[in-house]
Amino acid sequence: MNAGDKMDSALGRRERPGRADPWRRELRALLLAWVALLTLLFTSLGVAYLPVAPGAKALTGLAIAGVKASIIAIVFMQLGRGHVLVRVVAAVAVAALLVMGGLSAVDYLTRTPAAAPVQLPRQTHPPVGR
Amino acid sequence: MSITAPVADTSRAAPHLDAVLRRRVARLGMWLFLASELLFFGGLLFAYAHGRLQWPEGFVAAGRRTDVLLGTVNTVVLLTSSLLVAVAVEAAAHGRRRWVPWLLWGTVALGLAFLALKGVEYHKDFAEGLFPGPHFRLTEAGAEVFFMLYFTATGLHAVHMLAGIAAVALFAWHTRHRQSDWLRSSRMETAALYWHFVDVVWVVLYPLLYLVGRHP
Repeated sequence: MNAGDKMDSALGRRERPGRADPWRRELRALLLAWVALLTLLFTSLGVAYLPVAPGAKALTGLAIAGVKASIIAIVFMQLGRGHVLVRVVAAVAVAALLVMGGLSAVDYLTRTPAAAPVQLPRQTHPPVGR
Repeated sequence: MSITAPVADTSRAAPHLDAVLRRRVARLGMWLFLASELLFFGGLLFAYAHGRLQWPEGFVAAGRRTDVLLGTVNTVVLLTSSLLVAVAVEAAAHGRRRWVPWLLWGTVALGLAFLALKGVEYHKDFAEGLFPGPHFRLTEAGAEVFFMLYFTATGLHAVHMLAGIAAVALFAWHTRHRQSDWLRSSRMETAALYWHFVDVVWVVLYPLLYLVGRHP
């Protein structure tokens, strides 16, 4: 292990004494996360073909996508062991997104669609002989 | 006192503390950038939600026309590429420096495979008259809006993929020497965070674009 690696392990990698090789432990955690992501992917694919209401399928698909995104954020992006500021930034970003979505819904969800006559486009004859 | 004198020379007083701060600042900076990116893609997601509520039949009819096989294969490709980047960061942090360039080149290869499959899909979509415009083939109300959002979202995602591939390829090239400073996992971590975010965007797009309107 050279100086750079020592620095890396000193800078926030919590090596627990008395446990198995930390590299193997990390590798196992990443592989498990990947297996979980693939399992969830094929679960959402299977659910999409079930004979249930489209709305229920859409909500299930989104919920599974949310779980997958959380696994990527916590395990792959190390949000679980990140500094509190990093977690605050991530939480504020998600909260701001939801607030903006909610504000836009105030307009779209309260609109009353009014039927308007549609005039199909057509070519009119140019004035001839004038 | 000279105006060029540093205000607080922490690097000389405590180099270790300086490294900790630099690492934290780099990570926090990338997360702030990703937060702005989340709001950028978020607008598209809400446009989709409103479109879907406005024209449910049109969105279902249009969603049925996307290629679920290619979309699923691409999701597997992208999730696997994220695994490789994450392993590369851990390998660098735990002294497995020999692995790093291989893992990063593997990520680049998977990223390029993703874009190639996306190209095949776009070609198919164009051939079937699914690109919004005068030659759009579907007649259901809202179907064209679906495909407008489909091409905008996947196109913007592909642009982000290109940037990610360039960044990871740069790291893969520089880490071929075992003593390279680019091997410091703290530096590689920022590129990895970006790659994972691009993966997260695709994970959310997948059910919205490929799993709509499927039935047994």
